[in-house]
Amino acid sequence: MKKLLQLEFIKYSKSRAFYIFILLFMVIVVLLEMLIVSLGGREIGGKKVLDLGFPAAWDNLVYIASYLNFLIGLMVIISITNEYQYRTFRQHIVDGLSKLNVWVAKYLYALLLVIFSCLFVAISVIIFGSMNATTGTNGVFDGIKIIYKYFIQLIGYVTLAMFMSILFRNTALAAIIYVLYVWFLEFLLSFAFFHKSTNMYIASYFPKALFSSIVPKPPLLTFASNMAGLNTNGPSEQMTLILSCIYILVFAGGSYFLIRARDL
Amino acid sequence: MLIILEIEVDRNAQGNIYCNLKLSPYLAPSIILIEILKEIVLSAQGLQKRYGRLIAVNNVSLQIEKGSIFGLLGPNGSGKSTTLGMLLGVLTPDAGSFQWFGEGADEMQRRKIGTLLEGPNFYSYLSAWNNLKINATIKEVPFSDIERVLNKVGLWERKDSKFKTFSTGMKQRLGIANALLGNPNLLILDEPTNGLDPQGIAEVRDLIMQEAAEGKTILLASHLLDEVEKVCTHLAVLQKGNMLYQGEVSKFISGKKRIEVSAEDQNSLLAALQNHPQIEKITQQDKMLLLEVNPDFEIKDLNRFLFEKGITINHLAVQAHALENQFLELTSKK
Repeated sequence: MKKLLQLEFIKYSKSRAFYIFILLFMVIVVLLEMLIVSLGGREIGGKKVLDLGFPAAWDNLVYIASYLNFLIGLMVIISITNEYQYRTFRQHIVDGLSKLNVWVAKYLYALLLVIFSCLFVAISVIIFGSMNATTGTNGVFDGIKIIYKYFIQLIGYVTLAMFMSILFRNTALAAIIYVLYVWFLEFLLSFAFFHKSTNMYIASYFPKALFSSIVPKPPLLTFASNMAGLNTNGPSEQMTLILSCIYILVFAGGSYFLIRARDL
Repeated sequence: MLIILEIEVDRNAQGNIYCNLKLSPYLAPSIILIEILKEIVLSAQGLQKRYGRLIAVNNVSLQIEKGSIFGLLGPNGSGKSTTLGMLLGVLTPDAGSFQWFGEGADEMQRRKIGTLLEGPNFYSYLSAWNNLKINATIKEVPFSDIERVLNKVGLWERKDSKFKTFSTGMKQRLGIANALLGNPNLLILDEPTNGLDPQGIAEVRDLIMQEAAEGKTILLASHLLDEVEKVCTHLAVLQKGNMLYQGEVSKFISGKKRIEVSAEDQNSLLAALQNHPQIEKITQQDKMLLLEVNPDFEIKDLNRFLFEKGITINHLAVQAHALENQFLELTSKK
């Protein structure tokens, strides 16, 4: 395990692309949160649009950060498909790793990215929340529970990314299909179901729909999408978590099965 | 004087045969242990790989002895790399089995093998040093060994350069350095002289000979007959996935001796040679005659014979590239 982490460290500690992506993620998270803070901080009729004190800051800001899950997924896709394109997976096997080692090393890399994102988003929420909360830093950690949900959601996104990269092996193909899928392909699919059955019941059991509903929409946004007629009667919160974990297991197992079964 | 009183033959756990020689009491009152049979480094049975309807490797069995330089010879697409891919865990065989060092076929054995398989595969944005650190980590070799192998291939000065800045030859040499990492007792080199200039080819050849002189076993896959003839002790010939020959290089070449001869008057030369008892076969090749003769028939005998017949020759030589001819003969039968 330590050895596999060491390997990933050698690979990415010198990779410019890696740092650019990490920086991009951090900058966009901060920008999005600043946007929410400045929009939400406006007063309409003497009342703030968004409650940015704790615990509501957690719900609102983590939800906004979750729009960037696809970026973390992309980092996983680039790292895995590059191993195929440089033929370095093959080299690792030849040099003395097992296929399981190779898979575990990549999953560890994805997990570390997830942990980093959670930490960064948590810290940014604490900073932005404290700046805007009327109560100061009292109860800063009320509502931090949502980070656990964010964590599981990200695991879902990276596991799906891992599965797609191992399935397609080509960077461009995997990245495009992944981004299209999480952005709107699944939504289009669900739209088809929506028309047939007049509700989105089946669609809300699709993997991306489940993953993205782990971190719930904050009340104001829920209200907005209700107005647009887009809301659904999806599974309960607990059911969402259970089903998401099942999907995660399926994608993780599936990706390992693909590595094992196919030639490199 | 009678020395040996008794011989006991036994097999140890690794399958090596040992021979106990009990010596006569007044010479040495002890039992000495001598390893008479060579250790087997690789034994593979009935390997097969299909790609759709194409059989890339068909029922290939290999046996490689410790200390040999084993050439895997065949034209492009004959199944050399596919065979090595199966032996090294990147391709799953459709049939057959193999064992490294009599131990098994998994990654623990591969860590004891230095491999260059189908060109060097490295991270383009990492330096030579960092690229080798990856294999050193996998093989659990101290990073200090990287300096030794980079020096050996003449890349130490470029250790901090990124892989993408390397020329084809330098990339290939880094691949060889990667294989030498950890000083493994078995080297597998797939087309190691690919992309090298003549000097580089000679250097790599010397390197292989050096490693072999240290008692290492080397498996060398190549389509260059010349290369195999110069360095290998054993060889296997593959064509279209089938094994055509396996054994010692000397036995592969021996039994055949070819002499090139030419004269101003080709017709009288041919007439003179036609019924010579030592000459088995005569073929016309360009402006020369190619004679297949008995191995003990010397070139000077032929010279004398022709001189006595009054034929002046302008070329007479034992044909070089004996392996090449033997190889072409073997592969054209199919």
